[in-house]
Amino acid sequence: MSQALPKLTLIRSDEAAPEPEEIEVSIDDFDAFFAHWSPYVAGIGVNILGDPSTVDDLVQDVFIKVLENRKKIRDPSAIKSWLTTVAVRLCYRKLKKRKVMVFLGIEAPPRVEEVVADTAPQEHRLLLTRVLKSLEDVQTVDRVAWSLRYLQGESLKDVAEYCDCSLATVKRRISRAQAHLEQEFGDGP
Amino acid sequence: MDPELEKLEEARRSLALGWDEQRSRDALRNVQRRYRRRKVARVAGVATGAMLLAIGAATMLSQQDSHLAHHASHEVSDNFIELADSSRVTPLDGQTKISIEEVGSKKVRVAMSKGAAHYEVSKRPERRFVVELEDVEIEVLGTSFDVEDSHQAVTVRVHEGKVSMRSTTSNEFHMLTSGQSATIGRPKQKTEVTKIEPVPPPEVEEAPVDTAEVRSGSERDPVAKEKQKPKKWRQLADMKAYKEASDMLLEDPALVDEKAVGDLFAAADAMRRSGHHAQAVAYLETIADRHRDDPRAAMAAHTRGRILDRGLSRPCDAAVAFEQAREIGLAGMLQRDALAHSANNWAQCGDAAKAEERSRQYEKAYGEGPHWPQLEKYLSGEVD
Repeated sequence: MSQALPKLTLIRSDEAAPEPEEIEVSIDDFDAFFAHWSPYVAGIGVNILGDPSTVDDLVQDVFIKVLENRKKIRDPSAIKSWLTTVAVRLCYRKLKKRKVMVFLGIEAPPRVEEVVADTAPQEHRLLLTRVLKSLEDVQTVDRVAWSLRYLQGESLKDVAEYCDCSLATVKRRISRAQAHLEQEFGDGP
Repeated sequence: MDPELEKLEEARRSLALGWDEQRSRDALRNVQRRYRRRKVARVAGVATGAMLLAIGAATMLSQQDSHLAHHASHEVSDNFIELADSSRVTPLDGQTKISIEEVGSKKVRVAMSKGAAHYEVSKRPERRFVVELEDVEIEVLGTSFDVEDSHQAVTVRVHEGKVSMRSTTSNEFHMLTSGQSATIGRPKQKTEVTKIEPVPPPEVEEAPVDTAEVRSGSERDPVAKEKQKPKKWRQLADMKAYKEASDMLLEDPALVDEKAVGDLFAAADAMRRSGHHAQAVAYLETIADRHRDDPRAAMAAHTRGRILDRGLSRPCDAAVAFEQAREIGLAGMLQRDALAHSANNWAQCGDAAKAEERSRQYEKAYGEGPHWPQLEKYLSGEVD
């Protein structure tokens, strides 16, 4: 059986590192809530999935969960953590499904080049393309933890919360992914 | 930090989100539709659910279509057809015959036998959108255009984007861009490509959302008919006919209900996309000033800042707009971005003190965040 998925939990964000200020957008006004938070969720999708064509699906799936659970979400300060946890859990599923589909030849490998902005310097373009391609060969749990840390820019403590595992486990997962990338790159990404 | 990771930290800012307003609107529509369907499916009970699952699984296996399999159908309204990928087909006369032949993640195929229709195709680079007529095939990539099929000829008018048009009998091929039209005549297959001036907006009587209400009201009551007027520009804007929508608004600014934040946003969007940046800024200012309690007010101020900065090159006003956006309060990373934009614009405005102050705030709140290399130089008084 595959790695257990993180549980859906409401988490209060109390990390030591300063977080951007958040405004309260009521879930009762769902259109406004969606307009407010969908770019954030799409950003998680781009960073973890590395495939622009699946980001729309991820955003839709996350916000359907919001609609289904809106009565349970009472603490507005926990919304960001809640959304991230749900998005990460769905990313696990999508990555695993994609691996199978690509392995069976049903789907083409993700077009990672399209995730990199047209205006990006050539050096960045090459680096990101290589990193994202190499991540395709990394175990899903390791990839998610590494992407949250180094592409999404989350702290280790937050990565542990979003992945619903201990800090030690997260460090192990990130190290494994990092070791794979270093092996691929020879001297690191 | 490891220098290699530092390099990656810099490069990761080049990951393109590409999450624009249109994509957000399309996704929201799909979320609401899929959620409604889920609710209905739940009510239908276990037996029906099991049956639907079986059908769904069979469809998935047969089409190998994981992307759209769970919502690969279309909704028919009184005056338009909405496909599962959010594309819309609006018949323009009573003669139009349209059949949706295929909706998949790789290809959408629409057959049209006669009449005229307006197409609004959502941008999905990975799938082909094809309109098939008797002897002409039209292929598009995220665009809006009209097709008219008379017995004598097929005419395509492109409002936005790119469309290819190919005769299946002669294999004649034409690529049309925004503002162009082409006619392939029958039976001589003579093709004529022209620049059209300007593209006439599709005439649609009612807004798609509340069709029944508008129709019944206008039939009975002339006042209700008059109320349709403001809806028309909004519908044009929603159909991406931004130039036509902005022309209507420039002619009669009173069409926009200043109490409706959604209308103000749509008007600003139409103006911005048709190049009327100053008017767009004015609508956004109304939202930020008069609807400060609305959850979208901060986003309006932020967008206003971006237009003032990039579209109008007014850094001093842009800096004030970003300050306002921060003051109202933005979500997550937007708040951080607004602070960085504010510092940059104060610097461009020549106010080194404020640029430095905002940069210090940024450093305190976000450390060496993605904007830091740019902002760092303001600490030493370097202002362009």
